[in-house]
Amino acid sequence: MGEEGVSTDPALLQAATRDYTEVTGTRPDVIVHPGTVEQVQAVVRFAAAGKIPVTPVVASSNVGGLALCSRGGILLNLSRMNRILETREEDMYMVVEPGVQWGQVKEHLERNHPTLRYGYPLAPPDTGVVANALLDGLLNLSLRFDTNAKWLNGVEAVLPSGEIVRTGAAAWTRAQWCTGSPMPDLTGLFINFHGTTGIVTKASLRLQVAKRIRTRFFLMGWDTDAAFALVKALVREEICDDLGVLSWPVAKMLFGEARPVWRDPAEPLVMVYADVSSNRQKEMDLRLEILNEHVDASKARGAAWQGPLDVRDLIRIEPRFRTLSDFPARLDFLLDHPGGGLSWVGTFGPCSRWEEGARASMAVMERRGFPPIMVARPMAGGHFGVLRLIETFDRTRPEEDAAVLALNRELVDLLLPMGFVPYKTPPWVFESHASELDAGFRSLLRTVRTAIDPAGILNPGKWPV
Amino acid sequence: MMEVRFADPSRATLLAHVFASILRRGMSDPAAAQAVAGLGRIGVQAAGMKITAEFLGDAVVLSVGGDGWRAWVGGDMSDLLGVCLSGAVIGPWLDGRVKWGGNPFALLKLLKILAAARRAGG
Repeated sequence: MGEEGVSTDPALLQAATRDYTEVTGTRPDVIVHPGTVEQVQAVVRFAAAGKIPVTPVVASSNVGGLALCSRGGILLNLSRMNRILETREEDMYMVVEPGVQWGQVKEHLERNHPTLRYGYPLAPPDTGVVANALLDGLLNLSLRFDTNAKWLNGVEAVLPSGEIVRTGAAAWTRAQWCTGSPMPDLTGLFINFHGTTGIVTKASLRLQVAKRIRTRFFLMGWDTDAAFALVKALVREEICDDLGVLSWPVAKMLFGEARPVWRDPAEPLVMVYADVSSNRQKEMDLRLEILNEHVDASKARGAAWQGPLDVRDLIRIEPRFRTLSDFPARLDFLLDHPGGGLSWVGTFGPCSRWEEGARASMAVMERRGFPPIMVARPMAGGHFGVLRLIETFDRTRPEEDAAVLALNRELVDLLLPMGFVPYKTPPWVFESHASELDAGFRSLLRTVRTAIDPAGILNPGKWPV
Repeated sequence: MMEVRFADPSRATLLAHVFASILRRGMSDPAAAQAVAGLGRIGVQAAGMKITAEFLGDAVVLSVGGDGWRAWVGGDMSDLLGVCLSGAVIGPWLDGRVKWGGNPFALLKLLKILAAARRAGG
């Protein structure tokens, strides 16, 4: 691999023990940067022979400790494998390596394939697309096309044995990789397994049709229940690409307040945002008319709303709104503060219990002295919703680490019985709630993992069932 | 350049943040800043929120609530933002979307700040 492919620099090894969160990992023994699939195979075979743990990472920006070593070993940094290998415009898919970043995909499509688009997350442009897909990340088109994992046609992965497997249509060696069907869904062996079943070295990702006209609106509201009701009503109209409810601290943080815990009773409680797009102005106008009808109906029922405010106007008032205008985006108001800590409990759950979950979670956050930062987004046509509670804190202060961990534990204790399942799940959730996992599921998961990785070298400590 | 600050930074409302952002950009124009220096207490009311901007000689201090204004302006947030973005005051005032009271000359001076903010990219 050459000297540039291997690092034992103590400073880099130490830096690899932390991510943005309160979770601490162990120091890797070495960081390896493979550039080819063959090099990944060689590293994995070497590790398997010596029963050395291998933890795959790309940008190392994931939160929750999933990309931190639990038992030292090899930190396999895949960021050098960053080629977009092919883009099939007519068949609407692209094949990428695991180090490909969001910003790269966006630039590539806008420059070379402007009729196509991918969905983008609320994540910085220099973070990885494939890792996000394998962790079932959220996109700004997930309301219409589900979470990022559902955009996978298949993957190529290096198994702990060093063998290569291709899933989806590409399992047929002469087939195009435009679908996962009609094959048995072996891609699922690599989704949400947190890198414990294989090192994904290629992924085929679905692309969507780009729209010429796109707008994002914000509404300010004084009634949280009315906000959720409005979002649910708009979901069923199928007119928006993305919808979300943001709690009041978010707006203040955009204006530079580091940790807003005080709210004037006259201030809005929530912001609702709506993304609408179309290729035709007439269709766009109709979508916006329907949106406004629902806002007016909500007002008629007694809810107070301000807006819709076009995000382009908000940017003219406060340029920092630009971070919420176009994804991928580095949410600097969450990251650029003393100590730089960012953690969250993110859950997938029933939209029918959003109000209850949001209200109870925000009360817990306020009781513990944290700004009640809440984001809720409907997914997959409204079949389920995201409820996410976010904390910023100073990672250099152990007492803040402890406070965040205690808060996150209480939030999971609260939300899990309501049906909200943590995603990108940190290992401590399994440890504290193991008894709530179906016994058959745990047994099958262990069987699958043991069959694929009998020595347990891949990202040990994750999914500790 | 005149400083724009909050009387109590831990108690700044969203309306205060919005107004502070506009003022900071407007104040980057020395002529506009000069026009509002020492203007006194101006009230802004929107969507139930109320703030006071006290224009001193070298700073503007924003606080939540307040009274004893020399002049005030109020309306829906979207209408007030519309005035800030377009500079068009007469139409929204004539159809009642934007209201005002007190000394009109003080508010006219405030319009210079809004115009300067627009020129500065706001």
